[in-house]
Amino acid sequence: MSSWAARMHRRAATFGNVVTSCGHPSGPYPRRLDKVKFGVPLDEVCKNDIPGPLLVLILKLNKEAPYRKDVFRAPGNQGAMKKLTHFLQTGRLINMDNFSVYTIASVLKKFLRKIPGGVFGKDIENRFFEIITMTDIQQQRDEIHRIIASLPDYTQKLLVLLFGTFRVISANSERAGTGMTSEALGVSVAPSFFHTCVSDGKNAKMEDVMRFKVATRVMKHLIEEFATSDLFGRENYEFYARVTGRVLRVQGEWICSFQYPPAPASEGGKAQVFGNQFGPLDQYLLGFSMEVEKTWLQCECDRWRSKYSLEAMSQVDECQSTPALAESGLTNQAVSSNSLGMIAEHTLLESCTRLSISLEQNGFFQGNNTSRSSSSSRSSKTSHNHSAGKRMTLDELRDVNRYAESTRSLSYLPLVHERQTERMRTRSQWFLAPSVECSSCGGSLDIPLDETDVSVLTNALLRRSSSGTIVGGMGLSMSAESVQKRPSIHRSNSRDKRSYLSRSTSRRGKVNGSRSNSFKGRGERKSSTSKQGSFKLKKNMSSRSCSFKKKTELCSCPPIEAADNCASNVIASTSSGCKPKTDTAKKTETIHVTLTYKPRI
Amino acid sequence: MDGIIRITVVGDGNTGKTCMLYAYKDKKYNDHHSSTVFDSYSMSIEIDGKPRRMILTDTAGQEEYDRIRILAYKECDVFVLCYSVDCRISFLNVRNKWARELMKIKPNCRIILAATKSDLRKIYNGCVSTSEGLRLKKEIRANDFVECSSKLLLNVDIVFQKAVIAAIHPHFVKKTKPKKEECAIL
Repeated sequence: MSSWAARMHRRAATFGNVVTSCGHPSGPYPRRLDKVKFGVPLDEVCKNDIPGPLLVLILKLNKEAPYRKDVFRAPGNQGAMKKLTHFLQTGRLINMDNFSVYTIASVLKKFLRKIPGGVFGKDIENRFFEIITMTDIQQQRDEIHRIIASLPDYTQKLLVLLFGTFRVISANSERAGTGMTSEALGVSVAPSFFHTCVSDGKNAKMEDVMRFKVATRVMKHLIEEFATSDLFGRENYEFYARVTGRVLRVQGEWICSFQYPPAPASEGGKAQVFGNQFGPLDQYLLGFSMEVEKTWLQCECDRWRSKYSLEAMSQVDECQSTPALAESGLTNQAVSSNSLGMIAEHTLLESCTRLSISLEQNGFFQGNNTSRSSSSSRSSKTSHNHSAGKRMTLDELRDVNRYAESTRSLSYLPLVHERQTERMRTRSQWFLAPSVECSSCGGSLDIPLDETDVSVLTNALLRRSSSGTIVGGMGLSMSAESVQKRPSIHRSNSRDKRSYLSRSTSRRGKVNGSRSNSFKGRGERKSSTSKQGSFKLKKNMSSRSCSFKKKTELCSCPPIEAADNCASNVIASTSSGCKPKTDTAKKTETIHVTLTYKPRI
Repeated sequence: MDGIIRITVVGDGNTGKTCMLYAYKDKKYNDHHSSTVFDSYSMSIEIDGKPRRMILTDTAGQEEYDRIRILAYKECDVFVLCYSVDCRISFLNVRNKWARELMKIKPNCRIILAATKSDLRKIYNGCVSTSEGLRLKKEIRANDFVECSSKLLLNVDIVFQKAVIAAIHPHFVKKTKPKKEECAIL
């Protein structure tokens, strides 16, 4: 490996580029994450969005807590809690595997407890206390919905994640024998949410005990009503389904991942009927799933396939080899459910896929798609590939990036390291292969390989690659650019191709590079599933990227060569030549393929 | 002393405090599973032929409730500090958290250390052993140590008997005080 690195550096030097990984501050792994500060107002913690580590905490609970006894009730290890809190506050990387679910639950409660004024705030807490005494159920629901809708965006998202998790835990309490019913959960978490329970000062009184009991009732009510009525609003449910990868049913309808059910003709009335009818059933959905729902689901499957060209299967295969899935024989379950192509709410196997996907750092979209694509996408996935990239909206893109950022810490898995060594071996083999300089692209290198060879290689390698370890390509190009405004030249490796979906150009300069790399681009995923599709996509995307390069007066490759994995390096430059784009400009969804290669030591 | 003996049961969440109280006052095992916020029971017992009232206070183990728990600390005579045999974390928290909390709010309080769920020893490996419990008892200067099982109604009575004895015998207080002073001088 060292000889390979040395060779790499030598070559890089001949091109007059500073292509060293040591010059890149963040290295292969990002060393800093978003900080999750304790004891500061929520809007400071969630400046843009829920911070990644916090999201990972919740996701881990969402995945594992339903199987474990007394999560949220049983205490966490005090020492481990301190450690985890410290890590969160300083933004250090965390290996979640080292912390038990109990510790994480305790830390999460601590985080909520430390928020000044509480998640809700004093006024809203009091309103909740009033609402809980209401007798008219529908009015009560409306009122709760109004309250939640009045909260800031990040609070809503945080709440929907938390309550969704509570809901999963309570829905499975009986089956998994965890004992965490909604009541037990309510008692355990209520004081973390309701800070006004103890009246001013430290001297608690007997009335406060009563307030605590009311708060418990509020929590219990919210947990039970999470999916039976529209408490959190459509957007939030979609967000929840998207992030956790769970299939969720609200008001007796389906939400397939991030799909809200088609609005029924008479929404209000029907929702009520459904709410009453299915409320108690919804934990055992798969068993009770009716024919109608199934067909509706299949329709949705088709629709979504055409929309997003579900390509998750190969990734799912990969995921099943991850340690996260290996546990408790879930693999079989997952396989069997594949045939159905849908997964009942809270059956939990879906969430496993979810987290392991996040382990793979593939971003949102596979995760979203797995639930539906399981059965259907395998057969017909080539047709829509090339068009799919365009359909991502900017918001989704942002979500992808944020999500990817949030899951980086999970890349510290032994398995990843195993794969990394394997990859390094392949990489060095590739470098030994003859390479030809591409005159037209200003020194970039091109591999003289047949299309078929490349595709075989690409597919073989992509299957194996877990993106966590190839972080850094963009960061490199950024740094190269900042050092000298010359066309930067990178060797490209057929498998280090990462389609970089250009987003917010207003991001902070340095961070930009290190942050944007932690997810697999769509193009890459596409190519891993179907050869034909992958080539179409590549051509498509790289030609687009080339046009962009011309705009920015950077070195450009001929489109056709670029299609064949030549080193086309796109710098999403904001400083050189190209003015920072506005949001509207970004909506044109320029997608850049960075075929960069970054040597790592 | 007004003749009322106040006993407060504390310990981590899910250690079986409520179950133990139920087992003591109803003489049967109650398998219902829910967290306690704050509860108190009153019962009368006979000590030396005289009836005395006893107030048992049940608290929440979750640390969120620490402000409410203080309510039960004020007029308490004896604490029954529980840890669960099958949960090592709860055992460690006795030392790290509970003993400190009790000492801080009520120095020189009388503590009965109770190891609950002792029936689970047969089922799980790696349970907290009796000798570890005894060592912990010395470390936190508890007055007594009992292992009990609410499920089998084993030793539950002894826990509360010892608590009552600790409450009405000033003898225990005297015994611990000089020891502390010696330590301070040394």
